[in-house]
Amino acid sequence: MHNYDPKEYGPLEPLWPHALVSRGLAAVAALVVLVGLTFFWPELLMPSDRPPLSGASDLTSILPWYFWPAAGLGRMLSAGLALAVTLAGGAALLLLPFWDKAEPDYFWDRYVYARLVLTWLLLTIFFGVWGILA
Amino acid sequence: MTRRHRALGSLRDWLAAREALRPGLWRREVPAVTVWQQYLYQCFGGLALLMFAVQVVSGLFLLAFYHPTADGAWTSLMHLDNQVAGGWILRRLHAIGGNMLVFFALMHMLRVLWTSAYKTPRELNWLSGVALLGCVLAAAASGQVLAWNLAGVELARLLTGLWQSVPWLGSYMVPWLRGGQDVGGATLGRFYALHLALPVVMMLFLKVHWTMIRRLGVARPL
Repeated sequence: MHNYDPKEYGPLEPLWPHALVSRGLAAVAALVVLVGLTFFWPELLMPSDRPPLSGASDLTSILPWYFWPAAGLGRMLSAGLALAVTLAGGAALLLLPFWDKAEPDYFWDRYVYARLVLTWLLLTIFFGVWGILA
Repeated sequence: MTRRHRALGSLRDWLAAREALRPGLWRREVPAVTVWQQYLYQCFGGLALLMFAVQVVSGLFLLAFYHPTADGAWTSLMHLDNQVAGGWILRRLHAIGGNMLVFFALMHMLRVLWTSAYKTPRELNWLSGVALLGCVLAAAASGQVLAWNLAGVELARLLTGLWQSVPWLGSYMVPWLRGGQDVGGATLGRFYALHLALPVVMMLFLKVHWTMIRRLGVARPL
C-alpha cells in the first residue's frame, strides 16, 4: 500500500488531541489572514459590482479566473470544441486511477524533476491562455 | 449465477479491497497523521475544508438578506453592503472565501497528482475529490451569477448559452436552462437552487472523502 512510512519520512502525531489542536490553531491563523484580506483589501477577487446593464463588458470581467483557460480554448478553437475538451478533461481526470496502474514509485515518485517540468508546463499553458484573454 | 450477480459481486469485491464497505465512520482507524509543519503541501486539503466551512457559515447569514429575484437580487446586496452592520465584510468574506476554496482545491488536486496519491487503493478518494472539485467550481460560478449585476447576467448568459453548441440537444437545453429564450428571473432561480443544493451534495462527497482518508491513511510524500 502506498502509505506513509514514519521510519522513512519522519514522525507522525496522534490525530487527537495533538493534530487537531495544532491544525485548529493553524486554521485560526488562516482565518485571521482571510478576514484581514477581506477587511484591508475588499476588492480582492470580488466579482464586478457594476450595476445591471450599465454598459458593455469584456470576457475577463465576466468570467471567474478559474474559467479563463476554458475561455481561452473557446477563443482559439470554438465554443463547442472548448466545451468538449473541458468535459473530456474532466472525464480523463475521473478515470485517471483506472488507466494509470503503474507502480507508484516507478516514474512519478522517482523523477521529481519530470514532475516539476510538467508543473511548469501546466502553469505556462494556464498563464499563457490567461495572457491571450487579457 | 447470473451475469448481473457476477458484476455485483465484482463491484463488492472491488469496494471491499479498498476498505469502503467497513461500517463505522468515527472509529479511530487511522490514529496518527503527519506533523503539519513537516510537509506543508499536505495542508491544502485541510485549508479547502476550512474555506468550505467559512462558505457554509457566511452563506447561511447571506441567505437571510438575499432576495433571489431579478429585481431584488442586486438591491438586496446593496442593502446588505450599505445598511446592515458588518454586511459588506460578510459578503466579501463569502466572495473571497469562494475563490480561496477553488484555489486550495486545485492545489490539493495537484499535490495528490504529484504524489501519486490517486492510485490503488485510493481510487474512491480520487473520484470523490474530482466530484468535489466539480461541485466547487459549479458553486463558485453560480455564486457569481447571483449578484445579478451586469457581470452576473452576462455570466449566466454565457454559461447557459455554451450548451447551444451540443449537437441536437443544444436548442432544447438552452431554453430549459434559462427558463426562456433569454436569461431572466427564472434563470436566476435556477442558479440560486443550484447554489443552495451543491453544498448538500458536497457534504455527501466529503463524507466519502473523509471516511476513505481515515481508513487508508496518509499517502506517502514526494
